[in-house]
Amino acid sequence: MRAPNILLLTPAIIIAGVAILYPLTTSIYISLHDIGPAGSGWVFVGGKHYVEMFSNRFFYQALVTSVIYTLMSVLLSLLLGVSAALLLRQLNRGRGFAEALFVIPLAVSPILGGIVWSPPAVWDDLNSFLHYAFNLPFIDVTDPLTYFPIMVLSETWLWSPLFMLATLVILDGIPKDGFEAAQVMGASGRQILTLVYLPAVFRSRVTSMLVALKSVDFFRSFEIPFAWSLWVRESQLGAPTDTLSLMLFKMLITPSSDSGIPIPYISAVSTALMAVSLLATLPIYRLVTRIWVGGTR
Amino acid sequence: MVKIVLDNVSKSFGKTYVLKEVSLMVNDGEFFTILGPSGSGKTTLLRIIAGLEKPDAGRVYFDDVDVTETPVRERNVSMIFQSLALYQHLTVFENIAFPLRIRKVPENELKKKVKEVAILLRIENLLNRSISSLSGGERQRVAIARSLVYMPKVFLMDEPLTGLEPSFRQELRKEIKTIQRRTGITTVYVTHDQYEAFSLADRLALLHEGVVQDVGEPWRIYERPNNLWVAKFVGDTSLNIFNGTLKAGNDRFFVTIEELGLQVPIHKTELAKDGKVRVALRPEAFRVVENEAALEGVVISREMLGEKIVYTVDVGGNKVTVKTSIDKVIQPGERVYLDLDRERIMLFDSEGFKL
Repeated sequence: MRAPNILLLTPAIIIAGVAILYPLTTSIYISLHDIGPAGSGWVFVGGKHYVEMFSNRFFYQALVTSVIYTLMSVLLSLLLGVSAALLLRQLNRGRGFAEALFVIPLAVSPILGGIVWSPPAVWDDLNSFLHYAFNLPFIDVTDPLTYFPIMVLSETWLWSPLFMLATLVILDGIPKDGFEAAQVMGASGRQILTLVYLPAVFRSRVTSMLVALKSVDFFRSFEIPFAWSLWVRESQLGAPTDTLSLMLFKMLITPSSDSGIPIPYISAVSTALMAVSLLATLPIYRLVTRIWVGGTR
Repeated sequence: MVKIVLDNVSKSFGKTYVLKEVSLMVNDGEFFTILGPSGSGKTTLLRIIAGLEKPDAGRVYFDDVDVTETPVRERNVSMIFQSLALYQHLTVFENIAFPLRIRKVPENELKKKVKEVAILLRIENLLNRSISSLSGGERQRVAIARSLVYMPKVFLMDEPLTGLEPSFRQELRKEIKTIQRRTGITTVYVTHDQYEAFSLADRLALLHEGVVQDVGEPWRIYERPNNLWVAKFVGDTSLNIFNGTLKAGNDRFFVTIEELGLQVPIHKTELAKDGKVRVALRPEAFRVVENEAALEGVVISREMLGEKIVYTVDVGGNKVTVKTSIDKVIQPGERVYLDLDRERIMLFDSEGFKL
């Protein structure tokens, strides 16, 4: 019985090997080499590019930006998603329609998140309106302290529906009895929310998993920071818009005059980014589970 | 602790009538069970007492105070749901502490109360466990502990033992009864299981199609049921029902059981009058005797019920169900003599009401 089982799996293993392992090993391989003089091919240089990465101030800046961007996006998406779910559950009619409406952002391309809330789409008109109607000063969207939160909000607009759907599934899974039992025991509407509903959402493994996965996803965020780097004309390396992904992209399209595109260096950074993404998921999931599930075994 | 009065309570869901003019009184400190088949309206009745449903008509009183409009959270009742409704995201301790947290009981007092009730239910070693790690019986105890810890005025239970093993059920039944005695909390217990209803109740009500069929002490309901439906519903073996004729004598009545060709004198009752009646006899009203007796028949089949045996006996072409102890086992095909305990004859009029 065993041999045929393995035979059946072989195509999948081969495809996975080619599609995942090949780029992965190539990336690691290149990150450990340099392009030699013409015709000599790759020259092994060991950890040179990794050392270079850790001594590069753009890398640290992008790392900090990515971490802040991730924390803000994941917390805000969770908060808005859970709030939207709780509000939707109050609806007696039209819940299906409202749900569908809320979920639309999930279906759009992420780059649209960087366009829908951009200066030409929203802020220019809004500024004119506020200025001429109420004589308010212009909001300066080119200020990093203004546009960075807007970038996070755009990310939230895209992803909070996912948290909302997960929350709805969790809340719908609580039997009606649980709610009624709380009522009989004397709980007010607010107490039912804080003692029954919210703990059920935050202690659910679905929530922990979603937070872990989206944290990694936000950490690699590219589309919205990219769009905003165009709106606010921050095309140079080391801009406040630069997440790690955007930094890599900028290095790719703006070759330095002396050595061209620094492929090995980019490979080193992306290998590091991938390693962090892969390795961070489990600890984040564990951490979230431990914070929320607390003492329950 | 309170007395509960339901006065002419009716409830329908859409076009379906669930309760029709139900009037009941549950005495202060009483263990009251509501027994009925599924769909009889018993859970709705319980939910109306809890305040989870509002009656369409009629009033609910706790100690002469009209609580019909009182919101559920202000009634100070407790309820054990069929599903138990324990919170999976909380530990055993936090589940039991839940109603105390709602009442903002200070932490020290809260811990003390949870511990006391946990000792009472013998679950003090489970307090740090999660709900999902408990057995059915343990969950049951946690649910009881949670509903006792805040000393409610009324204790409501909706088939809480459903789904447990029979041996467990018996043990928990005893415990529930003991705890109720000790706390003296007025208790209403809903079940479709007559053993449970009879063994727990001080008094019980039988509900069928939203109408109260009978209310009384268990023995009275078993021996002198209010109507033929109740007579048939209670008891574990099928009831013998015959046609009869009632005729007045000088100081007593005589009933002729037509199928058995038997005339039996009975005590005079106020409701009795000459005419056709229905005669109901529980299988244990018959006794198998050694010597010749008025009834003679042939055993057709038998069924062992542990300490009892149920025989189906052919008496002159009519089937009679007889229940006896197992000291003497009779083979199918054997001839037997049957004696009838006159005290246990139940008479109903043609409508099925008790005479």
